[in-house]
Amino acid sequence: MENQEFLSSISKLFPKDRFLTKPAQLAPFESDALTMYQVRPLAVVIPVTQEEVIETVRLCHRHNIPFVARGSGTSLSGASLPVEGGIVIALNRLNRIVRLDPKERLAVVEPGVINLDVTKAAAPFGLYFAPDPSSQLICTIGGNLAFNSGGAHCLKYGMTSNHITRIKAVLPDGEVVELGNNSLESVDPDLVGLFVGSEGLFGIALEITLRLLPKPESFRTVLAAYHSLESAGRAVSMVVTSGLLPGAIEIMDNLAIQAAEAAVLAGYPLDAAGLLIVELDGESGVVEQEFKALMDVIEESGPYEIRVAKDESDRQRIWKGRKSAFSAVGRLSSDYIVQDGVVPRSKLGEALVEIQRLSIKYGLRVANVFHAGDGNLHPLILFDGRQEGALEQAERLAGEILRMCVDFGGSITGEHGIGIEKRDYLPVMFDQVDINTMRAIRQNIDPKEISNRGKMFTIDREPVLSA
Amino acid sequence: MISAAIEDLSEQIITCPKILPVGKMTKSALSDHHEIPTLDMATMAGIVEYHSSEFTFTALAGTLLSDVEQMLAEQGQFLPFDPPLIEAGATLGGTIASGLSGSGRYRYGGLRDFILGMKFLDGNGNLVKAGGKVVKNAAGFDIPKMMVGSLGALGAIVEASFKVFPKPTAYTTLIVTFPSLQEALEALVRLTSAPFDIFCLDLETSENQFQLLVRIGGLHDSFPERIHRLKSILGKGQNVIDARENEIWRQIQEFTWVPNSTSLVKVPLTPSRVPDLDAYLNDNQALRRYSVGANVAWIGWPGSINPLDQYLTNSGLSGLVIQGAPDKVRLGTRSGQSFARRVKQAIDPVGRWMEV
Repeated sequence: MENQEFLSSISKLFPKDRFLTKPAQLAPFESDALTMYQVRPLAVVIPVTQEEVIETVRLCHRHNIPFVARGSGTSLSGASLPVEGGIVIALNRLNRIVRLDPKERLAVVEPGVINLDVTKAAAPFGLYFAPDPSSQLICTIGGNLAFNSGGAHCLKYGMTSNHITRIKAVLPDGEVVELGNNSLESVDPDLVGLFVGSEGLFGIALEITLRLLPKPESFRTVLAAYHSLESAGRAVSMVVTSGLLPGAIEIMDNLAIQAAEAAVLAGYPLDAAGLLIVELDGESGVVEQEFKALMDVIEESGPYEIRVAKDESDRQRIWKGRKSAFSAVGRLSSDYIVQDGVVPRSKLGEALVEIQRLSIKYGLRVANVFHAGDGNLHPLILFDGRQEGALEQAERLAGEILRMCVDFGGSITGEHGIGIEKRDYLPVMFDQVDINTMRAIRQNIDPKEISNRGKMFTIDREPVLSA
Repeated sequence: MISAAIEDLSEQIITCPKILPVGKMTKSALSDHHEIPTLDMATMAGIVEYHSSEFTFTALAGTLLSDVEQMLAEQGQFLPFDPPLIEAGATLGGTIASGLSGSGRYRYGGLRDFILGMKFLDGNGNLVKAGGKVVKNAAGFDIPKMMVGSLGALGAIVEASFKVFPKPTAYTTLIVTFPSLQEALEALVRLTSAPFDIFCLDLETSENQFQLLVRIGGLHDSFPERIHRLKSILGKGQNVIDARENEIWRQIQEFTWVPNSTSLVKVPLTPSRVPDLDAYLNDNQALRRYSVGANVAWIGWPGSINPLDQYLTNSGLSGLVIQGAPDKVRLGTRSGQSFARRVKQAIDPVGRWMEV
C-alpha cells in the first residue's frame, strides 16, 4: 500500500523518461563496480534540479522508503548498491558547474559533475582539482564526497575531504542545511569534514564548494624496475626518509605490469618483479633540485633499470598504465576482488610477503598495485566466478588481508570505503563503543535510517515501517 | 598509569552536570570560564609514539606543542599547519579543540588536513576511538575532523594522531609594500593562482601601509631564482633571511602584535571580502592581518566586542574570540546549526559539555 501510494506521488514529480520502473530500465542500476552484489530497486528517479532531489527525499521520508544516491556507479565497495524496496536517486544529470571563481580559487558544483570535468573547466585559469581517483574520467564529485575518494597523489595533497570547504545538503528527513563556507578556514566544528566520507548515511550533497590548486609548473616522473617486490618496497622507505615529498609513489607487481602493458602499452619493463613510479611536482627550480636528490636515492636502492619520462606524453602514458591497472586485470580474469587496506609504510615488505603466502595458501592469483607512498595496498584477487565456492574463497582471502592490515596498525580501507563489502570488518578495527558512537550520530541525523541503509553498518534491526 | 588517569577524568565527568575541558588556557576567551568546573587535560601529557619514517605521531592531548615541535625537528620534520601560540604554552588538544592553524597552513592545508585519529571522552565518560594512526584511512565517520573547532562542546580529547611532513631546510621571505589595498590584493590574487611553491602568504594593513609577506622554503640554492621570479610578478621588495626572517614569523605565530588590552578575533573569509572589512576595521582602530592568502583575518579589537559582532552579522561573516573576555566568543553568523545540534545530541545526550 505504502509503496503504491509512494510511487504514485513520486511519479507526479518526474516526467516518464526520468522515472524508471520497468525491469529493463532498472537493470543498469542493480549494481555498481562491485558487480557480485545485485539488488533490483523499486524505481529509479533522475532529477535535474536540486529541488527535485529535495522533494524526492521528503517523499521517501514521509513514506518510509529507503533511498540510495548514485553517481556513475564506480564504487568498489558497493556504495551505491540499491536497497530492497527502495529507490535509486541517479544524480548524473544534476551536473552543473554553478560557479568557477579563479580569483578565489574555488568551484561550486552539483554532485553529478564528473571529477575530471572540474579540472577541465579550471584548466584555462591554470588551476586544477587535486583528487584523482583512477576512475576520474567517469566518477562524480558526489560519489567522491560520500566516500572520501583518494587517488595517486594523497600523501602530499590529501583526499577529497581536504579539498571541500562547503556543502549544501538535504538531510534524510528533508531538511536542507549548509555546512562550512567558501573560505579555507572556519570557526565551527568541522561538520564538512564529518559529512565527507559518511558513505551517504547523512543524506545527499546538493551543492559543493571545491578548492582548486594551481597546476604544478613542472613534473619529473621516474620509473624504477626491481628484481624483487621487497626491494621496490624498501626504495619507498628510502625516498620518504630522504626528506623529499613526492606527489606520488606507486608500486606495481609483475602480474599488474603485464596486465597494464597488454591493455595500454605503457612502456613498462615487462620482466620487473616490482615497478616503482615516483613523481615530483612543483615549481620548476625546486623540482629540478629535488630530482637530482631523488635520482641519487633511487640509484642507491638497487634497481636494474631506471627510466625517466621524456615529456608530457610519456608521463601521461605511464599514468594511463597505472590508472587502467584494475580494468586491465579484468583481461586476465573475468572475476576479481579489489581490496584497499592500509599498512604503515615500513610494513609494506612484510605485507607483500604475507599476501604472497595467502595467495599460495588459497591457490588464487593476486595482482598488486598500490599507493606505496601512503601504505595503501590494492591487492586484486583473481578468481573464476563459474567455479562453485570460488567467490567465497576469494572473500576469505580478502578478509585475511584486511585483518593483517589492522594487526599491522593500519586500516581496512584507505579510499574505497566500507560500503556493503567491508561491514563485517568494521568491528575488527573499532570497538563496540566506537561503533555505537558512530551509529548514534547516524541515528540522530537519520532516525528512520532511510539514507543508503545497510552501508557501513550491518542492520541488526530493520527500522519499523508504518503499515 | 594512563588508564588510571583516564578513569579519574571519566569519574569527574559523570559527577559534573556541566564541565569544560581545558589545557594550558593560552586561548583565554575559550577557557577562562570561572563559573563552570573545568576538566584539567594539561596533566595528560606525553608522546605515545612517533614514527618519523611513517610521517606520523600520537601524543596525549595535554602535550605541549613546543615538545612536539622539538621532537619533530630532531628528525627534520614539522607540523605543516603551523599551529599558533607554541611559546605561550599551547597544548595539542587545546589547539585541536579551538581549530587553530597558522600562516603556514597556506602550503599544505590546516590542522583538519593533518589530523588522523583520536581518542576522546564522551558525555557519559566513555573513552571513544575514531579515525586511525596511518596517513590514509577512510574507515568510519571522520569524527576527528568534527572535533576540530568543537571548543570542548563534543567531548574531551585525550589523545590524537597526526600526519607530519619533512621540514624545509631553509626559508626566505619577500616583503613587498603597495600604495593601496587594492593593488596589494590584486598582487595577492596573482600569486595564489601562480604555480609557485609558497609556504605563507600574509597581508598586513594599517592606516596607510599595505604589505605582502611571501615566505618560501626548500633548498637554499633554489632561492635566488625563485625570489627573482616573485619579484617579476610583485615588483620591488625586500628579501629577508635567516634569524630576522625567523623572528618575523615567530611574532606572527605568537600574536605578539596583539596588545593584551585588545581581543584577538579570528574571522574566516575570502580575498573578495577584505576591502569592506578592512575599511571597517580601520575606522575602528583595530589591528589586523590577513593570513593564508586572505582566507582568515586576525583582528586585534579594542573595546567592547558587540559592534564587531554586529558588523560581522550584517556582513554574513563569522568570528571567534580567541583571547579576551570569555563572555561572548562566537561572533556573527553561524552555519550548520541544526546539523551541529543533532551531532551534539548524539554524543552528549545529557548536555554535559559546556558550549562556550
